[in-house]
Amino acid sequence: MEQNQNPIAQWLDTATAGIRFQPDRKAVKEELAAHLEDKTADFQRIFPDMTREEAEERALGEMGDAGEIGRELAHIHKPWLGYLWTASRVLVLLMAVSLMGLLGVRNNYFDFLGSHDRDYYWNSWYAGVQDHEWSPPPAQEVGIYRLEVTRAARWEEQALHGGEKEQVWSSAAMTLRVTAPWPWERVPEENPGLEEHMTAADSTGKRYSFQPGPLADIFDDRPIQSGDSGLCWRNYELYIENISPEAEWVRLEYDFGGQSFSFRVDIPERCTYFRNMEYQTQWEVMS
Amino acid sequence: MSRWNELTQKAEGRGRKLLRRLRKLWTPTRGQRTAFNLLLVVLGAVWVWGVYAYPLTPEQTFRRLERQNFLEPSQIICHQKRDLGWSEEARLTRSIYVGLGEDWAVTAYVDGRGSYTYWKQISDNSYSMVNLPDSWLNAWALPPGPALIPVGFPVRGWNKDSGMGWGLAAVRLPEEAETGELTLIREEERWSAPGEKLDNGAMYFWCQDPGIGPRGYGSSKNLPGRPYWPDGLGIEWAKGLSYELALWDKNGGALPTLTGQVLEG
Repeated sequence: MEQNQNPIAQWLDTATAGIRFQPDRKAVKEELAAHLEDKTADFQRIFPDMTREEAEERALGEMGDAGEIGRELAHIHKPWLGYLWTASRVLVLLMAVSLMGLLGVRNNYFDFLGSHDRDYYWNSWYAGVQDHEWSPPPAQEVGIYRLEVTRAARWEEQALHGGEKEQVWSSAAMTLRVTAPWPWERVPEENPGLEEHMTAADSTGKRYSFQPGPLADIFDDRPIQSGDSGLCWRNYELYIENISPEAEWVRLEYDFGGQSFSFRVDIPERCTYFRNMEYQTQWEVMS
Repeated sequence: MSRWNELTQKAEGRGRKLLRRLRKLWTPTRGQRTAFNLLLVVLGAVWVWGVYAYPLTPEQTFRRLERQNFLEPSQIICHQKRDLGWSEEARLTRSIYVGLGEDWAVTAYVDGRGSYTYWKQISDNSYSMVNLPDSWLNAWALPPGPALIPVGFPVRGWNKDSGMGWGLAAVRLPEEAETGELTLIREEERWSAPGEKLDNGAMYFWCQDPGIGPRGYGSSKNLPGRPYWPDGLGIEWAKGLSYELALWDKNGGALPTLTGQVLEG
């Protein structure tokens, strides 16, 4: 093995031999070399007649025993932190490569953060409902979820037949927001539990179901539809068709599978949303 | 050395020291950098997990489905995992669960490969495109006494050569029932299926769908991947059908035959 003949280099090698993490060993060696260089320069400045070799020898002498310094440095040095740091950098690199790879194979890169694609549509259901006309019922905890009804509206609907007004009735719409404690527990777009087992009753005693009809998928007319969503929450837009015109409130009820909740939702007096239905057109689609 | 040079050197020395001190102050320590890197990795991993709809193990996914549908945890009485080796066409048969609660039952399939779009049969010649989540759960209110629940997802038969069909779970059967044979009745038609005993007085039955055939979950040649069963029974076929369930005990003694209707929802 080739021996390093330079005394300074030998001293540095001995002093840093106990440092196991290579980048640290290199950095400490550089620091000690700089310190030795400073000391050598000081000696040469103070004693202008001193040669460089003499100044280096004196500086080395003042630095102390390389073996002892090496043992001290090895004692205080923590290599695992260095290894962990290196591993973390490799992980960041791998993660960056995976994310770039994912960009190529998935097109729903941001979907899990939530969706506000149809904000304008859902908001239009409730446009015009004034604060003084409606106040939300208290939120409830159901299992790990927090449920709240955040808005409600009364609609006027008309069935048209060949452009002629055939029937007029009132409906109610409300937003049920379900907030999960964690993003991975966010409720799905379709919730058979709610569709099948949640019911409603209005203040006149009339009862309603949220089960979708056989043609609900064709006409995108399910009584419970997924509205906006965020990282941990989702809005379900509830639609109750043909409520009693004199109904003042609607009670949402769920009692199934060991869980239950009930919301009494006031329905604003004023109709704020109008929709007409061209039954003739729908029938043509069906047939 | 002139006084001027001396002062300049001193000033440079002080400047260097100040710069070194500031650099030390503003440079994060190795521990901080490691923590930051690990935080980036965790955020990235959660991001990727989220893009893939937070997959968990099949049982954890089933439990999460129960929570998301506002149900207490049920007792799992049936878990079928049948990986058929086909890619898209077989995805609905991945992992099927039947759980039993106090007065309810749940049937669920768990896939874990992201959502999937397919054509749902609405009526004889009518289909609607449906975005199917990668996991799905149906909850059934149980009447008092025995009940027959349609599993509601196409399920592969018992061996690799059997075709696709539909599962049904009978629950709350007499404790002594060891074997059974189910007959479903639709006017003049009859389907029979032997039962597989499950835990908690339950049995599982599988009826082959002749319309789907041995090649599996039917897909039209013109529309690859479109589950389309021109002669198939369809997902809803068993709901509301009358049934007869013959039961035997472990000695082969016949128990009273049960009759009723498959749950409709």
